[in-house]
Amino acid sequence: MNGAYALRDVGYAYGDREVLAVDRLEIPSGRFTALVGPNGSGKSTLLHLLGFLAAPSRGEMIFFGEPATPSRLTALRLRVGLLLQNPYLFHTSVAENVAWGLKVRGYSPAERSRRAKKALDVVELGGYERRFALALSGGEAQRVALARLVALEPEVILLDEPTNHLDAETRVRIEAALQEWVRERGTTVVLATHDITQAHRLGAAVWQLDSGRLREGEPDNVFRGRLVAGEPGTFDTGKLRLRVSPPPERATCLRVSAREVILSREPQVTSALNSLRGTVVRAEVAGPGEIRATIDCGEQVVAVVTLESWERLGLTVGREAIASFKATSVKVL
Amino acid sequence: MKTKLWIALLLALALPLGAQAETRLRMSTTTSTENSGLLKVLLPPFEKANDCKIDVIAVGTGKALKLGENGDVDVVFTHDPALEDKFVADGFGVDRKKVMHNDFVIVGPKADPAGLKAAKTAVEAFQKLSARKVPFISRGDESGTHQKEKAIWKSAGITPQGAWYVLAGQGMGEVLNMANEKQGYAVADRGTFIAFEKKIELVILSEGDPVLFNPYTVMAVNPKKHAHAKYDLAKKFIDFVTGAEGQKIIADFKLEGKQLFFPDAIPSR
Amino acid sequence: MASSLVSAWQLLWDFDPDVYFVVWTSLKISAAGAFLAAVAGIPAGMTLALTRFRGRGLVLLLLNTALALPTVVIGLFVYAFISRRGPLGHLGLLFTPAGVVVGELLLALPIAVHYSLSAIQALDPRLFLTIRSLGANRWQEARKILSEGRFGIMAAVVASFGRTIAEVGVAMMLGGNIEGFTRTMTTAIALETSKGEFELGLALGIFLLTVAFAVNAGLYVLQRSRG
Repeated sequence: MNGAYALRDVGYAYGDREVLAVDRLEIPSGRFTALVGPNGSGKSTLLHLLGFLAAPSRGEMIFFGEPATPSRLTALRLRVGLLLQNPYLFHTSVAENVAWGLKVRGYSPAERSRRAKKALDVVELGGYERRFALALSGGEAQRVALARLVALEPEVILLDEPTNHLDAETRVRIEAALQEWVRERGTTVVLATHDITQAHRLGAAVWQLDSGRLREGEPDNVFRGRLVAGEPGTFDTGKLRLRVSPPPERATCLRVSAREVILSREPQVTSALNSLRGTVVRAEVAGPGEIRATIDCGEQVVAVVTLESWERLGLTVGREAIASFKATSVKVL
Repeated sequence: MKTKLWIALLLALALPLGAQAETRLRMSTTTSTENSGLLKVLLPPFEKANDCKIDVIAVGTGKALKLGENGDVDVVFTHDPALEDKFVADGFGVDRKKVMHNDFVIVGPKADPAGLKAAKTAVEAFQKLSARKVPFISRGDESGTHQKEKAIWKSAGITPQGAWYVLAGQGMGEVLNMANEKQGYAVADRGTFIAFEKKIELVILSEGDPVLFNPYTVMAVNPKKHAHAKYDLAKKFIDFVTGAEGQKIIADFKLEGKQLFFPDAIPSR
Repeated sequence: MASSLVSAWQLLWDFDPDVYFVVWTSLKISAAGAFLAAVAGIPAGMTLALTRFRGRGLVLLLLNTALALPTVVIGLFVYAFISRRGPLGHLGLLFTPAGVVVGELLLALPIAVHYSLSAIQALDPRLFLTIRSLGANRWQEARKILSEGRFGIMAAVVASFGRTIAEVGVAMMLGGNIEGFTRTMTTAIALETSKGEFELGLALGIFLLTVAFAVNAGLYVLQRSRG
């Protein structure tokens, strides 16, 4: 298997509370993989495991064909680079920050200097070597942290929301730099992001995280749009309006799990519910006794229901149906 | 680079601490002896002649003898016959020799409210002090001076008690300062008093009674009890202070133009 | 009083050898004591800050008690140990500068630990994850932590020195105030004052005040530039 990582039955717990459960995860080498999910879904925890900062509470992890046992963690850390969300920079110059990982690995001062300079060029901070790291703006700091990783030229780069402090223009350039990195060096890149379009742009394989559970594939029911000013908790996709509870301050991207969408023939009118009328355009078997149906309500809404309900409602492709889901089931991505 | 600086600093500090190559003889004595200034002239000739340094630890007589008992010093130079007797009897001291004597005086305010000038003996003076209950500052620290004072109270048959009788628990200088502040009385060795005379307003009100006699003795710490004690050098020191040269230095030593100590090993008279 | 001050300044200005020898002895002994306390105390403070172990609460309690101990108590305990009668008597430490250093080391150790502990606890918790994720081993981690917390750590050293230079009880008990050997500024002041020699006492006092002021100024600057 040409994989960077293979995880089986992996779990991570704080005390007796399990916060992450991964039945299966395969990350191919030399490509982009994206972990998509809302905040608090376990993305950071999973990245910490992939970065060998901690050992899982259960399960096994294979890294480039070899098991990642607890005794090997310190050595394995040297082969991957992890960029944390809200990165911490040392109280020294930019150059010293970027070169510290190299110092840890025993590179000579001359080599450290050369690599640091190169890395700063990649993130477009050439010339910043002598600046005091803590005096930089949020975006610059994030790029310095990225340069710190890039300088190490690791086999795997793990990024936790790498561009969320950057403006659109810089983001585009950083994404281009990452793509070049992957193309030229065959680096494996795993990024955690809430923005599914970024995953698409980078051509990443998508895995989704929901309350600590990992599943392959893109999340069902992602809606993009804008919050309506003056009406808290109302989200406009352009084609329909959704109610979100509790009302978020910012949202450009919402998702609803297909399993929380209920189908009916009659509308259910309560303020806590989003009730959308549409036509069934697709239906397929989702699993034993389950049907995955797509309803076109202006936006495509996917619902997973039991075979029993499906038959009771007498639904089939082309029939009208109401797709409903609670305002509290809507999550901000 | 920084680490090298620290190592250099550490070495620089360690060297002087380690450099105790020369022989050091440890002597415990009393604060009044050291404060008199005698040792500053008495010790250097011996140090030079024997290529050594004498470490003088000045504490109260009780502690000076205790140091000898514990073996923390090599030679003891004190002035309390009763405690010294016990020291030798218990086997801690050997080669005991008389060195010199000075005397104690009773001092107090010029006005002399207790009327000590009229007293003929020290005991009488103490009786007057107790009767009038004027402030009296005692060393209270088991020093030679304190022992002497206690002996006089005992002879007078008085147990001093009350607010007027202050147990200072400090050295001679502090006691004189205190007596000065309170315009009270105290027993002091003549040497310390002479040294302080100019700075305080107390005067000598009773002196000359043989009971106020203060004999100094030197003893070596018994090598049988403490094998590490520098006995040979201690013996040499004892021979020096009781020999012609040492005794002459003692006789010639003057404080404010007055002779303070009178040699006993080779009496100058 | 004024004339005494003038005479005191005179002594300092004339580089009176007695005065300066005493000053040098003080600085030497206190620096050694503070340095050793820092060498032992900083790693201890760091360990206390970063590791959770059984009995940690007890250790913290002991630390706080040690900080409040009167110096004469510490002096007494060390004296009992290094006197010829005591278990460490054969080392011959009593009434030597080395003996005083031992006492001052014990005195300053709780301070060094306390300041280091605070300095590390004040660090941003993201630091620890960051240096671990960059592949550092234990030693590299420790060095970087000390580097990031350098102002607090330096404060630990300076505070230790501030404690040792100002100490009189321990120096007196363990050093014996031996002239030309273990007489420090503080014990000399005690002695000279008891003899009524105010000029010399004042001269030393002025010097000591200057040192204490410098130490505290240094501490102030260091603690302000944290981060």
